[in-house]
Amino acid sequence: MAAIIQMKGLSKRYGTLDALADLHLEIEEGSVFGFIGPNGAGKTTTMRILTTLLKPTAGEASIGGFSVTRQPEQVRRIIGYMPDFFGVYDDMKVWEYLDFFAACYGIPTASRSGMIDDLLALVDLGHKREDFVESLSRGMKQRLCLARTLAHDPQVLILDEPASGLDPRARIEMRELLRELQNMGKTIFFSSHILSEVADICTSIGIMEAGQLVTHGRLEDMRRQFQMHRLIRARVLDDPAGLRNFLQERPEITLMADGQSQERAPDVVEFDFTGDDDGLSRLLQELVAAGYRLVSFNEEPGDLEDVFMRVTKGLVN
Amino acid sequence: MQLRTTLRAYQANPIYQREQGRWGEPNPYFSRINRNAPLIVLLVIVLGVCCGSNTFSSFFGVSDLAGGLLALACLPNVLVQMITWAGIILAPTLTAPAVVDEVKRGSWDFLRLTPFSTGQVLTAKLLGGLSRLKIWIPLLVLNGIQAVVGLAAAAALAAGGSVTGALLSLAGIVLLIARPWIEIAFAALVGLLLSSITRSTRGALAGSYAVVLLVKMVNSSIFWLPLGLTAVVLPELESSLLGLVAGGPTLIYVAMLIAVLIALRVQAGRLEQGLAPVDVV
Repeated sequence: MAAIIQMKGLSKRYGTLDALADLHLEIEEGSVFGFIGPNGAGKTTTMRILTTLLKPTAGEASIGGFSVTRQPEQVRRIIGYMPDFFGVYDDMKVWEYLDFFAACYGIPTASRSGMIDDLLALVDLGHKREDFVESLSRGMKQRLCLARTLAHDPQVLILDEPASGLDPRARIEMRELLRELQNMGKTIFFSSHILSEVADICTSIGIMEAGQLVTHGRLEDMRRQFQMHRLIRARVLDDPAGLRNFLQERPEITLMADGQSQERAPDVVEFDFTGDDDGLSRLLQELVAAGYRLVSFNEEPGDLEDVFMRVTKGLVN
Repeated sequence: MQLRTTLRAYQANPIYQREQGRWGEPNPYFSRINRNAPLIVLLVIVLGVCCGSNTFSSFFGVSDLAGGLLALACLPNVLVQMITWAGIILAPTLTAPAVVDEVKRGSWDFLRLTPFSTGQVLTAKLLGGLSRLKIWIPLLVLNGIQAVVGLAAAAALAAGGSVTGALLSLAGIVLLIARPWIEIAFAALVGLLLSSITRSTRGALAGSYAVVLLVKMVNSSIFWLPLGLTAVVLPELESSLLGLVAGGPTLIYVAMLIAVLIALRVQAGRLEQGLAPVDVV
C-alpha cells in the first residue's frame, strides 16, 4: 500500500533542545500506527507538526500528498486530530458542539442533522444528544471529541493518547471504536503509554526516545527482531522425555524448568531458543529427521514490553 | 461593495456566529456585565456628559455663523461620547477573552484546524463579538447629523472667503465623526491583542482596560487645553487650532490603532506558527 503520511528529516528545536531530530517515517494508508515512547520523547511534537499546528525547524512532512508547511489548508481538510489535552465547549449541547464544527468545515446545514446522529451513534452518545457538554463524564467527552474529529470525514486520524485518563471500561470502548474506524478504512496514527493497547490494535509501531525514532516497523517483525528469548512449544505423540533429552544437549536451547513452564499438557515441551529463524527451521528439520512425531511446533508471540525495554535506554529530553 | 462582500462572508462564518451566541454562550464575562446594565448605563451617561461637552466648549464665545455651526456639529457629541463610552467599556469584555479562553480551555487548536486561517479566526471573533453591541445604528444616525451640520459650516466658511478654514473645518468634522469608531475599534483590538499574548483572561481584561482608559484620559484631558487657550489669544489661528483640538485626539487614536493592528498581525503570525501565548500578565 502507498504511504499516506511521509516524514523526511523532520526536526524541531526549542533553543538548545532537540525536541525532534531527523525523523524519517512513512505510514501506509489504512494502517493503524502506534507511536510509543516515554514522556518528552517527541511524540506530541511530531503530531503537532503533522497537524500543521507547529512549524518544523527543518525537514518536510506530507499527508495525502499535501505538504504540512506549504499546504496546511488542504492537510487540515483530510486529517482529524484529537490532542492529549483538549477542551470542549461546556456551554453547548452535545449536538450543538458537533454542529458548530461541522459548520466550520463547510458541511451544509441540511446534511448536518443526519450526520450528527450518525456520529453520535458511532461513539455511543446518541442518548446524550440534548445534554449539555459539561454534564458528560470524561470518557464521554473523549468520545465526543473523537466524534468532532470525524465531523468532516477525514482520511487520517491523529490521536494523541486517546485513552489517557479513562477508566478500564471507557478504555475498552475507545479501543473498540478505533477498531471500528480502522474497519471504515481510516488511517490511524496514535500515541499511547499503554503498550498492551498498542499491541492489541496496531498494525505497525514506532518507538521514540529523546526526540529520535529508535525503531519502527510492523509489529510482528519487531517482536521477532527484538525478542531476546524465543519461547517455543512443541507437542509430540510419543513420550516427551526423549524430546527433552534431545533438546537438552543443544547449547542454544534452555528447557523451561518446573514452575516456569506454562505447559498445560504432559505431551508439550516448552523451551527458550536463542537462535534466528534459520536456526529454528534447522532444529525442526532435525527433530523430524530424528523421528520425533511432532503434532505442533510453534513460537509464542513476544510481548511489546520486551521490545520496548530492549530498544529504549530510558533517556529523557 | 468589496467591504460588503467581506462582511457578508464573515457573517456566514460559524466562528462569527458563535461569538454572536448562535451556539451556546461563548462569553460569560459579557453576560455578567449585561446583568449590571443599569449601572453601566448610568456610568456611560456621567462619562459622556463629562467628556462630550469638551469639544463644544472649545467654541464658547465664537460669534460668527461658521463657528456656530461647528459648535452645533459638536453638540450631538454628548450623545456620541455616551455611545463611545459604552463601546469602550464593553468592547474589551467581548474581545479580551476571545483567544485566551480558547487556549485555556484547550479548544484553540480545534479552531486552528478548521479551514480558516488564524487571521480569519481572529477577525471573525472580533467582528462577531462587536456585533453584539447595540450601539452602531444610533452612532450612525448621530454621525449623519454631525456630517450635515459640518458640511454646512464648511460651506459657510468657504462663502466667507476662507477656503483654508473650510477645508480645515471639513477635516476636523471628518475626524470628529471617525473618532468614536476609531476609539471603539482601538478598545476592541487592544483586547484581542492582549488576549492573544497573555495566558490569563483576567490579565487580558485588566490590561485592556488599563491601556484603553489611559489613552482615553490623556486624549480627553487638559492635554488639549493649551491649544484652545492659544486660539483665544491668537484669533488669526483660531480655525486651525480649533480644528486641531477637534481632530488631534483622533489622529493620536489613528496612530495607536495602526500600531495595535501591526502588533496583532505579528501575533497572528506567531499563533499560526504554533508559538503559544506567553505569561506577561
